[in-house]
Amino acid sequence: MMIVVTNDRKVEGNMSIANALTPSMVEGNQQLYIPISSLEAAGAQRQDCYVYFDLESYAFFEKVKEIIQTASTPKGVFRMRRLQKNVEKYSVTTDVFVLTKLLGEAKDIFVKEANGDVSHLIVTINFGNGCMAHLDYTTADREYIELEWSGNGHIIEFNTDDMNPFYPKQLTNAPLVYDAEILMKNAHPIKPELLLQLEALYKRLTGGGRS
Amino acid sequence: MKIGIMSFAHMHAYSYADCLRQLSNVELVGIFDDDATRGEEAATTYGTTYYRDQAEFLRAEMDAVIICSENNRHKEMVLAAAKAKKHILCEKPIATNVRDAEEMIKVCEENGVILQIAFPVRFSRPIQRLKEFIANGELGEIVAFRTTNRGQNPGGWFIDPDQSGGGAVLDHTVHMVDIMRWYLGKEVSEVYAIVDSYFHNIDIDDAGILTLEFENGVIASHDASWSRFSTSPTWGDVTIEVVGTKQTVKVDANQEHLRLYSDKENAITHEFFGNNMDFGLIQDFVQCVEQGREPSITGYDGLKAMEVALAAYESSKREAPVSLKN
Repeated sequence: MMIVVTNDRKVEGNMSIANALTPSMVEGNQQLYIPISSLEAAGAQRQDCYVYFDLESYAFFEKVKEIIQTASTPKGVFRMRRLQKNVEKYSVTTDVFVLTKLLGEAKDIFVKEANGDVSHLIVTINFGNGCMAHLDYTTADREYIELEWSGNGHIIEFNTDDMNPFYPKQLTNAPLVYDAEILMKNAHPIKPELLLQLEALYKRLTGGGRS
Repeated sequence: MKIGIMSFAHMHAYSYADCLRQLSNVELVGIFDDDATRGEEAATTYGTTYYRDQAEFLRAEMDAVIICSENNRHKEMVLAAAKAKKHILCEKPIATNVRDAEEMIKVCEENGVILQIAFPVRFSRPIQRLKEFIANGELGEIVAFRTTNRGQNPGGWFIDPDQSGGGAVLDHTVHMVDIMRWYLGKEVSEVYAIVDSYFHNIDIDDAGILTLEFENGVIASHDASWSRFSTSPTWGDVTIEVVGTKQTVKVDANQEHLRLYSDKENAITHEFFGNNMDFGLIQDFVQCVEQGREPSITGYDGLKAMEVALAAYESSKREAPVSLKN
């Protein structure tokens, strides 16, 4: 049996959904798909347990990846804008991790932040192989993602407000909904190498300045 | 008022000449251009006199000149026009280095002539409305900016480093840095940038991302490129998002358009119906000369915007943030 633990995030697809990870799930023998925030509770050595990352669980990002990867060597500028209730460095780390899988290892990471009543974080990434990225995060009372790729041969423009198929827009979370099949396809086995990679990226993002 | 145009090397000269024709109190009295074919054609189009000799052009009776030459010739033309006591509207960037810009400002001051820099984005109505919102406190304190200025590769002298002084980053950074300075009333204190050439196989940058910090701690990201295709629905974009403590507001200066679908090669085009920012710029310059007032966009504004773009190149080369003294 497969269970996706969502931490109250909306998932679409045919599979068992659990809002939160319970001790019985951890002790059981089901195949578990957990968000990064449940990693500690799941235990790093849990067999048949996969961690999924927010960005690569959305259908729209799967399509973005598909288009960018049509180039044998992608070259271009990737920009992402996120509004989130909390700008939390661990979730930023997973975004950067997902981008390194798409655009290559991060040669340089430069972080600037302004903290106050409203927090704003800018991450500048040089992938060193013909790709660069700017990620902007702001605390807000709603979630929103805007993506742009200015590439060699393709320009992608996307934002979750414009591509919400409903009007009034508050009737649905779409397209900010995880796709269960995509989530499972992209989920990562919890291995020591993965945890080390995430930890290293987290340190680079929290170290301040350029790394 | 009598106005002349020095060089049609920059394509904006045609738009500015069109704007001059719309002003009933202005006469385009002459065009100077080293390129005789281009200059004569422009003079014929606009029904004015062509001058091949710069000194002869500057001896003609006129109040002001608009300079639209290659970037590396701005200094030479500004100095000559200032010494001839002509007020000046100079295309951006003001120059290709700080020393030249400082000399241009100094010589204009010494000769008592106006030096205005062509930042037409300041005359976009949505950009002006956003400034009013900020001034009225509707956004609260500004926390951050997010800006873009991306267009098509202009080719020609723009991609010759000697004549342009820089590629997309110089061309497409100065507008939005000027707007951020204008909104904030503060200077940029640190620049971190990645500058590269991705799109056109040219010997000059066509892509850059800049992360800025202002002297009061406000931060900004800026995307400058020549990444847009000739088949794009429009030439490019000019956008700014202002993150405030009360609300975040985004303005797209080109958003007022119709989406036009056709069965031609460019299947979708954007037909802009917003205000003509070039006309606002030209009208303001004319009024400035008439009234003898300080220009709304000074040579110093041009210098400070150019400094940030030049710091971006330095940062990218050094792979480190560059501090700016203010």
